[in-house]
Amino acid sequence: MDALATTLALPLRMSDNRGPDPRVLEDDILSMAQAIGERTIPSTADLEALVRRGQRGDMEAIERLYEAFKRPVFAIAFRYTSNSTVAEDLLQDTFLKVFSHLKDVHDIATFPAWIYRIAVNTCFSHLRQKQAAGRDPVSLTAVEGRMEEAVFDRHEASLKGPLEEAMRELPPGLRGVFVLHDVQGFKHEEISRILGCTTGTSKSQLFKARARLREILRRKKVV
Amino acid sequence: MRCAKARRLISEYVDGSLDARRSERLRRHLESCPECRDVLADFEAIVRDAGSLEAPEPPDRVWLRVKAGLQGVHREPVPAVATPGFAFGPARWRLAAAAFLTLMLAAGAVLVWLRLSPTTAGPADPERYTLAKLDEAEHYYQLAIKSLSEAFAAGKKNLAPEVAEMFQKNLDVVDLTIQACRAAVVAEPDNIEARDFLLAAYREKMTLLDAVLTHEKTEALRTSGGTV
Repeated sequence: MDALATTLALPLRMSDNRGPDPRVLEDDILSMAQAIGERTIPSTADLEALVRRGQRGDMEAIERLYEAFKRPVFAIAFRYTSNSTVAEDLLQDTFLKVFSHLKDVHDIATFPAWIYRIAVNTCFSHLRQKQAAGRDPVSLTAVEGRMEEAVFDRHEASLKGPLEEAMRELPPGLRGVFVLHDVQGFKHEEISRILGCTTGTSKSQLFKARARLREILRRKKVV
Repeated sequence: MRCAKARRLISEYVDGSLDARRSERLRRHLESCPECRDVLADFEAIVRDAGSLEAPEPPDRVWLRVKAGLQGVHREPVPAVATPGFAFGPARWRLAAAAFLTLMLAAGAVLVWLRLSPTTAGPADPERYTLAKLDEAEHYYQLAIKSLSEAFAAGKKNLAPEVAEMFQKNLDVVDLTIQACRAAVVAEPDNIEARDFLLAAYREKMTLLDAVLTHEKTEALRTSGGTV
């Protein structure tokens, strides 16, 4: 098992968002938000106020936190699973974990990376369970996902491209780094904080992911 | 420079993160190596296309599910004094919610069992056993919808006419979907996929009812001077 997969396989430490992650400065948070085209993430001061209110059970603040982060988290889940209904479940699971542990948030600067890390671990955990369970003969979520994707595809034909199909063939570890960097636009420093790996590992995994995708696309004579 | 080394650098070169010295060495290698030039062109195409991929918007119903899941974790303040004679007070709503949750847990347990025990725990004919369990889940969904519908009917007067009209239109659409799915199940009782579509339609109806009940509750508390 490669280094990143080992990192991802470790249980997520959610009881406290203080940890080995280096401190993220306000600029980093903003660049993280801008990188993924997200315009709804509040400033650090607003974020801190929302988190503190959320810790006291203020549902309006909790909803605003959800609204701020739902798109990037959903995008991560959708890219990991290629199924909008499963991605909805993972979005729900991620935010239930986030809000259930909100009282343990001490360092607001690491809050966005903490959410994305929970999202990635939730997705990875789902993929591991799916792999372990094998084919599910009564997969309701898969059926619903196909229904919704059929509707979505009519509007967004580009989503059914060969690159998306090739991404599904990537191992989860490589897919994660590729999704975060090339699809979502995170920098290696941000990915290292989200995945809990070094920037060197992130770069190395990205190279392997691109090389693997190229092999798949060449095999299909797309490139 | 060897090709293996050049290809690792190409990945960073595409991102513009390679320093000037190594970029120059790579460019010299590329001038003399058509294979590595192909790699560069392919990596650039992959990065360009990946950056233009889009994801669908998360639907609003996910927040309703998150909110419902948090009810035991973050309790919202309730009015200190209930208004006497108020027909759709928090207690009634809580009873409806409790009934709904109980039934959902029962239906969920059946579905979880189906997922975890695909073929091993059933009798000789696993498919028939699965169909029986899906029937059971459908029964629980119907009970949950009945409970939610009664709660909705009790507090309907609190809704603004335009909200009630919009809700009714949405409900009609979901009911038509349920009817169509039901017809498909009746035509092919052994078709598990058709059953799945029917259960998905039931869940849509419950989500809709749950949303309008939350709205009713908010309106009721606002009218009575309480806080949400």
